[in-house]
Amino acid sequence: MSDALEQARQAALAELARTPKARPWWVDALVLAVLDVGVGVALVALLPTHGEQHDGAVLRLVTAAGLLLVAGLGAVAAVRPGALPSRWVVLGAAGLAALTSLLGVSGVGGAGLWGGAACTVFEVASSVVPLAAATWVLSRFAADPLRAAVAGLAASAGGLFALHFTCPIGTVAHVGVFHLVPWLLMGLLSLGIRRTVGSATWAP
Amino acid sequence: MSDLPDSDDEALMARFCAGDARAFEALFTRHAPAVRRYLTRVSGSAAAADDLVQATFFSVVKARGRFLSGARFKPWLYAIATNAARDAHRRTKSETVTDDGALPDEAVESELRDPGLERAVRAALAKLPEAQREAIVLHRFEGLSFAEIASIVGLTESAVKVRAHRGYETLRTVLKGVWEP
Repeated sequence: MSDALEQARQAALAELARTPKARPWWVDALVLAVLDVGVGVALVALLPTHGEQHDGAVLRLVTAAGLLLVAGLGAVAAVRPGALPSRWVVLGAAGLAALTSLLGVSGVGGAGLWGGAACTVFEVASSVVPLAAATWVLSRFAADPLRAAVAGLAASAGGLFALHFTCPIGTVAHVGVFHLVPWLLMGLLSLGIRRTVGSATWAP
Repeated sequence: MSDLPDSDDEALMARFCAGDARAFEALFTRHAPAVRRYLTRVSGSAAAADDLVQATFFSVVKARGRFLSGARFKPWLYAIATNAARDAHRRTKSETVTDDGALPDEAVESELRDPGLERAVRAALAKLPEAQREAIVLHRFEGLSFAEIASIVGLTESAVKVRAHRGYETLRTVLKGVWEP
């Protein structure tokens, strides 16, 4: 064995001695999923809720369940090793979640720029910890733009879920511009952040 | 244990993930020389390949919890090596080539024993885009199937075939009458 290979072997064995126990991928996935879903649920539990955003309770609950699925399954999909679904499946799922949020809005209320900005700030602020956690987990393996975007959408889905129950404004423009656009932008932001953060390993 | 050398990669990986360091040593001994050869070909530098081999097997150890039970080890290992090489390439932002546009002498220490032929193949490989070079080196020199390469580079099998086909076409043109890839 050449000197270079011997050095590589020694470095690998030293790392093995340092971390003798493997950390299964699903531990990270579970932590992120619980965090993403937990943030949304906790905010709804802590903040006053409103029923004005949607016309019907059933659609409201269906949309809420969809958003929680995006948060939980998105976190798992972003971290799970192996091939991701195609980008079209991811775009389709994000589009479906967005469309469901817009369907059945009540049209009640209105908000100027400041009312809308409050929702955007709320969503961004509620995404900070989940997004930081997702970035930390993703940085432990090879960079993948699609995974980063999925992780970002999942991380901010908790905030979107919370807004779904706590925001009293039900106009299409408000929900679209101040709830959904920030959500999609968080997916892009996650992608941008991941590009700037190095990788601890090159594992797929 | 005496049965280690006869175990297949996946059995060794399972034992390694369960904490058996000797299984890792067996995998290293079996694959490290070929991975170094592959990284030398795609990076164009033996020195860079040495660093990349270290990064590859360091990643194997550190990220062994991401190896899916039932998956094949070799494509996973080459995916790690390929990711490491791509990142190094992005960071250096340049191909390591000689003034003639060929990969350096140490880049192809291959089974092509004719020095003139080696030089010609080196020069031809250096002319290929990185993605086509990866596909051809993995397929022609490392003997991986297109399906395995697809899982390594994260594309469909047909997309990999297109890349390899285009690369082979270029090689055929450049190496006409010298070498049939």
